[in-house]
Amino acid sequence: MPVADFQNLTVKYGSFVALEDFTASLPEGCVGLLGPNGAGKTTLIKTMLGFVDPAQGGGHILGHDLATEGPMIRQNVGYMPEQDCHIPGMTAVQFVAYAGELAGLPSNQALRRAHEVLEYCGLGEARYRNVETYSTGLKQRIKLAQAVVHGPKLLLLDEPTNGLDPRGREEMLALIRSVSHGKGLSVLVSSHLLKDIERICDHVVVLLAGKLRAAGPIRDLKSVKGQPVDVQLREHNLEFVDAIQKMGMMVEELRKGEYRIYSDTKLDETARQVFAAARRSNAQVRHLALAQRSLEEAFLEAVHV
Amino acid sequence: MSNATGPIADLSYRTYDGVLDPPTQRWKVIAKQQIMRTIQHKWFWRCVTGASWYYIIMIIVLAFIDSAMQGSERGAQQALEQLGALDWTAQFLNGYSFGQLWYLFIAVIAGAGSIANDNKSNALLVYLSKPCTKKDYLWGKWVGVFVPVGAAMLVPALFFYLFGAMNYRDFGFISDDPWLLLRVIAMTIFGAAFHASLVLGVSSMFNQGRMATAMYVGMYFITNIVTVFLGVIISEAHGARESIQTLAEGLYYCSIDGINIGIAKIFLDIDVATVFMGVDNGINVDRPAPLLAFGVMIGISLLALRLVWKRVRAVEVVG
Repeated sequence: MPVADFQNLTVKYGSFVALEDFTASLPEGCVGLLGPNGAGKTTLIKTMLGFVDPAQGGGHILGHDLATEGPMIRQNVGYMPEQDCHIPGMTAVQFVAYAGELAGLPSNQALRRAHEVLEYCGLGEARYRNVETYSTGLKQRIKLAQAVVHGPKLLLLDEPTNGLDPRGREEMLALIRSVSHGKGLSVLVSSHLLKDIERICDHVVVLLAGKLRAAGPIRDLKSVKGQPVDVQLREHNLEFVDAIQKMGMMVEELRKGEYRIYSDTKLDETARQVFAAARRSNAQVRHLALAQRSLEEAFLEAVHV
Repeated sequence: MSNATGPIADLSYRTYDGVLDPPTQRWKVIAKQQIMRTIQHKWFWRCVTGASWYYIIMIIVLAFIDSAMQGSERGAQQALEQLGALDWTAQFLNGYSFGQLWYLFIAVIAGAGSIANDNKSNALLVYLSKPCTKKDYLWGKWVGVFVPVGAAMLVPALFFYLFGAMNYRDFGFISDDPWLLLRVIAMTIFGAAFHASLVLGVSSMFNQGRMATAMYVGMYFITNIVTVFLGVIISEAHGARESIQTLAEGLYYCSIDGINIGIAKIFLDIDVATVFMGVDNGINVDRPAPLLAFGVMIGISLLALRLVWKRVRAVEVVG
């Protein structure tokens, strides 16, 4: 069951069209929202939260109608904005507990839950400090904590690794991956950092200039047409190449000792033929896998105008 | 994680599966938080004490008169004359007008930073991403300012009323004006509502609480000084012409201070307030026309709230 679906969603800021005729369905799990700056990623998230009214079209988030059930949607959704945001003059515990109360937690539960999620997000003893004294890394963590305090079913993360050093980025990605897998929490991550998305997401939605360019599981997007296989040999072997070609398959040398083999046959049959050719040419196969592009290649193809 | 070193044993993420209040009336949470923050401010209590000074002095003076009544027959006679001549309603106007500056400080403590600091820290993204509407936010903030300011105005007055009702019923405390308590309550409700609306309007215009404070305090003093001086200049320039003089004196009721005093005079049904033994409190301008005074107060309050409504938004709309 999709956590969100949109039909012909169009969002305008004055005369500027930020999102145009967007129709998509977001599955459960971790979904990456990809696109260059100005693609409409943040606009989509803000529309989901009801900050912006669609000019036309609509959708459902967790089964609630976008146009009429804004408060119900926001009660079941957690949002971690791109910008720094906090309630001034509060410690992290007070801030997160207050965010919990705003989301509907009874005050005693909000305080208990605030301690719990702050520990989980790695704030430790820093949670008793005023939020204004926090470093960028800690501010990112507290934004995540306030987003999950009420136990949302869907978490919207807008550029969650923004401004983090490499270690902080690693930790944040690990946190996101952890909450989005096996915890009953679906996550929509907006980012223009493909490596981050590739690490934590199972699905992606690619936007460009407010329009949907591609959507689906990352594995499918990265797959190459015709199901070629990538083979890595112990060393470069011309006899292996000859043997493959004699079997009627096409070979492309990617690097020294690495080949991409195109075949019209089924995947398991291709694999059998590869091993047969290797046996014939005394080549040692180190790696055999379905050929895949990098997400970057898939993304560039999707956004290519 | 059984061998965890932290205070919480299980550090893995768990989904909250307890009760959630329905997504309505979030303004109560915002108002509660706003009130708690105000009453935790030590200057709030100092200002409340400052705002109560007239009532405290009056209680001391009345206690002194009580002891004089018991001392000698001559003293008792004089004390009885003083008490008999005392205008009880005027004491509430005096308490209210002498506390005006303190009410300003309390309004600033409670409200000047409430929206300005939220603007600075993008707090609106937190509020509006929860099941909390713009109306909840605005109403919660308003109530969060109104309650402490109203309490600072009302509680000392109620205490004085209770003191008077218990001790001076024989000197006309209740019989002079049976509706006095309701008049005092109405006066403070309108005064606190005016401060709350205005200070939130000013707060919403800035990204720093200090700037909003400076602006609100500046507005208070400038409107007060300008209207009083303008009144003096006009009345001096036109000498004996009574209509111009009345108009010039009435200018005072166009200041923040004047609007509050004007409304208080209307509710208390009084023009000049005698402090004690024939000394007036300096604000001896006749009360303004009720329709005009309420019109100005409600109009300015609505304008201020309209400004807040326009300024409160989670997304900067371009194009």
